[in-house]
Amino acid sequence: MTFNSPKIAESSKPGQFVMVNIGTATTFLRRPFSICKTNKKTFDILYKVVGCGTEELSKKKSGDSLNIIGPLGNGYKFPILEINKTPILVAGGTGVASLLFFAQKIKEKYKSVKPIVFIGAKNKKEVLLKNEYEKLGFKVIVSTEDGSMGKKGLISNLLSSYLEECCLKQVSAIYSCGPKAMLKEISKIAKKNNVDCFVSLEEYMVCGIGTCMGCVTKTIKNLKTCPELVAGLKIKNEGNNYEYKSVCKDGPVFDAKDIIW
Amino acid sequence: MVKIGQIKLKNPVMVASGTFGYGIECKDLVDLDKLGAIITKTITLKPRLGNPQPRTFELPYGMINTIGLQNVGLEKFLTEKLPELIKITKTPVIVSIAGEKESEYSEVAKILDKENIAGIEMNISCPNVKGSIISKCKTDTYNVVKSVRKKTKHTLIVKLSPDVTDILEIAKSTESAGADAVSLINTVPALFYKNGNTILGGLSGPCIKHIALRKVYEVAKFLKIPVIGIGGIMNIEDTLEFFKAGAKAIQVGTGNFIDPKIPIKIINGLSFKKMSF
Ligand SMILES: Cc1cc2nc3c(=O)[nH]c(=O)nc-3n(C[C@H](O)[C@H](O)[C@H](O)COP(=O)(O)OP(=O)(O)OC[C@H]3O[C@@H](n4cnc5c(N)ncnc54)[C@H](O)[C@@H]3O)c2cc1C
Ligand SMILES: Cc1cc2nc3c(=O)[nH]c(=O)nc-3n(C[C@H](O)[C@H](O)[C@H](O)COP(=O)(O)O)c2cc1C
Ligand code: FES
Repeated sequence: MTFNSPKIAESSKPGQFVMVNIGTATTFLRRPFSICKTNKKTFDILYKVVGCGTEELSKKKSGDSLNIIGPLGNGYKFPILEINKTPILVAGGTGVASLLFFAQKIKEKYKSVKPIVFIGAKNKKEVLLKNEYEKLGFKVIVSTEDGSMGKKGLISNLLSSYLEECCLKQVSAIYSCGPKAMLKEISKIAKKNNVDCFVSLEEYMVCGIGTCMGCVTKTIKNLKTCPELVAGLKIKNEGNNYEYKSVCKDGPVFDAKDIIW
Repeated sequence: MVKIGQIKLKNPVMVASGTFGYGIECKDLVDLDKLGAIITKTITLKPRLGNPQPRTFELPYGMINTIGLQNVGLEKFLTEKLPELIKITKTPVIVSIAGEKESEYSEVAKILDKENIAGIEMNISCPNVKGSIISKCKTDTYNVVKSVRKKTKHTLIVKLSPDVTDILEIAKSTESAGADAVSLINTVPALFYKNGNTILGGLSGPCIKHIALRKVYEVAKFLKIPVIGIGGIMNIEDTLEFFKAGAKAIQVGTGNFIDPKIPIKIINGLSFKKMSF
């Protein structure tokens, strides 16, 4: 879905999102969607119909107007790319959306890198934006749960075996967006291979601007004071070592090391 | 202009505690200077982590929340949040406070007394923390308001819960303990089943408006101090209904989430109607 909004199009960074007021009786609250790409005056979102809000959204016609707040959130930090280093993007489901915008900007900034994107989905029909990534010159690796496209299985397994075979020194960092269970797996794999990993989280949102504290996620308060967590052990006195950070304002992109899954 | 205690408000429209953060978060979306007053998120003496997820539930005409008063604590509020807010706006800042016991309320009030704020709103009606709601008992209410009153010369507003047998009795005890105003209502205690789990929280939004109107109506006539109406206010029509029920000022809560510009739209609407307060 494309929106005409020069202000949002100009000022948004990859990983940021917008809050859309769908404005029907059944969807009282705004809904968050990642910015998928931008043009001079327009920006796109890519969404999947999962409930009443997205259902209503799908009924909108060209020329309709919607009340939108954005761009919101912190976005992906750009990799400081050294020569011969490659970022790896890992997308699950509609996670392809926010990573595409990131991919677009990576290519604008670093013309010569040959980045890779892993796309995981339930089936062939849900593998989205593959062509767009290919157009940008990304190497695209696909897996589906039913095997209807690419390798059969979970994308995290594919990533894991890829990292075993590739030269880790060439990986600058992993950037991932998708369902929470997948992000958790990816961050485990990154940790095992000692690669930096950034994840874009989703939580139910109410305000989208950090005022309601509804969308929080559990994070490590201070790595230095929490040696157990650094060592991968269970923490004894949890109370002192975690805090809730808002996904909408402190995130949605977090360093995977900071998240308590 | 409206007067609440010693605070002179340029208009009767404020933003409700917990729905506007520490004010700073909204500076790009709302012209803070236009607001009648800003009520901050409830602050406690020590930082509070708040409740685990899930914290919010959507309903057709409102929502249920169980945030659990997550806040940065008084010290960080005074060193980081308040100075920044005061720097960016001249609008009166009213600090919402809460505590686990009476002594915590009065300690927070004592520390705030030296600060450059317009007033204090005592939240004695949050349904999302352990222990019972203070404002359910008139004696407890009287005692806690009295002890805070002794510690502060700031304007003192007391925020009440609708979940009581006789709201007038509670409101009167805040008045006799020295409160400058009462604000009502806080969220309505409610229950939500999520995947079979029982979740207790507070209901807010348009679905509670008529409960709030009734509570305002039940107390406004019988108090000398002003009543601030809160509950499901989304537009100027809602606002005028609260005035009709006896409120001298209003607060927009959940409405800020749907459209952060609602308070400004109401203010513009009131001045268009050339309302005098
Ligand atoms: C920062 C952020 C970016 C997002 N970007 C996109 C995007 O680019 N494309 C896209 O299709 N979706 C995205 N989402 C998810 C999207 O917001 C939800 O799918 C949408 O709100 C569902 O609304 P609904 O009314 O259709 O569904 P509802 O009726 O609200 O829910 C239907 C189902 O979806 C689940 N659900 C709803 N909202 C969320 C959520 N926030 N997190 C996890 N599960 C949820 C519910 O549990 C339920 O099973 C994003 C969410 C966040 C927080
Ligand atoms: C997410 C959320 C957080 C809230 N936090 C507070 C709070 O910290 N202190 C407080 O006094 N009231 C809090 N409230 C209650 C509101 O200030 C208000 O009294 C209530 O929501 C009713 O008004 P409304 O229907 O306009 O939202 C909160 C409400 C919501 C929805
Ligand atoms: S959605 Fe309100 S704090 Fe994130």
